[in-house]
Amino acid sequence: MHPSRIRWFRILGGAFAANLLGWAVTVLYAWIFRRTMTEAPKVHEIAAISLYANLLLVPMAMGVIAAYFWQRLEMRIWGYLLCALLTVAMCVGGAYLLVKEGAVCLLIASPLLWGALFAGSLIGRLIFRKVEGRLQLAIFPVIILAIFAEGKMVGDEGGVVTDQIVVAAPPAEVWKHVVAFPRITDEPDYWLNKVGLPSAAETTCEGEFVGAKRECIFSNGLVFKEVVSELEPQRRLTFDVTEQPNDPELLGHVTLHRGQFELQANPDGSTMLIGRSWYTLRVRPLWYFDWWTRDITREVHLRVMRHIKHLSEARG
Amino acid sequence: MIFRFVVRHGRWLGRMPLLPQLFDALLLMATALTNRGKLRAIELLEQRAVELFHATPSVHRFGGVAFVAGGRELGHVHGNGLFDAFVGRANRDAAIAAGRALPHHVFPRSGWVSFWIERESDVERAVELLRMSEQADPRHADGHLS
Repeated sequence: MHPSRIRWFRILGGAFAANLLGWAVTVLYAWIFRRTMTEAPKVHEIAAISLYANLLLVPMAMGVIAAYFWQRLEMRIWGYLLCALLTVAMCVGGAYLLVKEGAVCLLIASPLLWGALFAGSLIGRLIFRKVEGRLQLAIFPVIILAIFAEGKMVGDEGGVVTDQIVVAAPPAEVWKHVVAFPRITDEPDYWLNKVGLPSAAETTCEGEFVGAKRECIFSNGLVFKEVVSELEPQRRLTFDVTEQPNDPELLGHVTLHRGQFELQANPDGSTMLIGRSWYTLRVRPLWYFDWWTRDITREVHLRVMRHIKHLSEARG
Repeated sequence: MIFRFVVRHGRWLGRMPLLPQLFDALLLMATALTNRGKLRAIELLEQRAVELFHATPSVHRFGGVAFVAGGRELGHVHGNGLFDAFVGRANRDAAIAAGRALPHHVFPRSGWVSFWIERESDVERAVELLRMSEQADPRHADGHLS
């Protein structure tokens, strides 16, 4: 066989083996979930917690496996970086096509996958070089233990995102556009909206009373169903999210619980409009995905609040 | 800057399995994407350490590549080009005074010194430090990092 073909064969073989490990872990989890859901709830709980650590440690293990195949290619570090990217592309493509995972979620997760996979491949490069190509198995119990330990140590992350904006209109005028507002026609300027993440578009509400049903509608037709839980005219509106859309970008990743608008009158006649959202994040590693959740939520807040500002100032 | 902050305030994170390796890989990734000359220098240093000192490149416990020869670590290089070598206390002061190295970035009073690799021409100076490390007495390795 031609040397360049052998080279490609080894590169793709490493990427495939790494993905095989990733998929094997996924299938193992699916099997454990199905078997333990009713029969062994304690085991089910432990499996569910440990699953969250997948995004960091499993890619590292995948990188180690891939490096075993790539070691004979005597690649430079750039080679490992590109091959790690190829492996991530295969992984992300498979998740999108086979599991119907959300494209934006995958886009967000990709840099982390790439970094962790590259780290694993660098570790593998040194390990296999040291033992002259023999598979050093001691690393795997450490990785498996670490996977379970991280998940067990950290619970789900609850958080609140707060943003504020000054509106050059009195609270009485701003309040008219807080409970419900007509469709936002401006094109979103947030880069994730431009690559497919739906943007906030419109809110409808049955009326100004506690218990009123409210709907927050997104650009692709997704609807968050809400109910007004607290209402102080011209001061505060709080709503609980009762139904979240069944969307792959959200499903199993993040749960939104509550939203709130608070209006504070400023001495100069303007209004400080404050928006808050409460959520629980269910993906690991928290430090990475919490940053994204906050960034995306902030963009939703600001898009809606800028729209309220525009409507209030036009009439005020 | 990030590296300095993490080393100064997040040293405890180094005890978590695999986290330093992940952090160092991200530094190396940043180097690869932004400074190809520095990346080539890091690779060249690894190559020279193997050729000249028969060192075995190994995973360093605080991330990066350690050069191990004769059962002990001569030095290690991080993904951002920071090279640490054990030259012994006797050589340390002379190396620093001559401007061939800096005090170690974490243990300035130890027998370790640090040196920033920026380009391929810096590699020979790092090799000199490795040579001093090879000749240094490991019994005086205060604050040994490996």
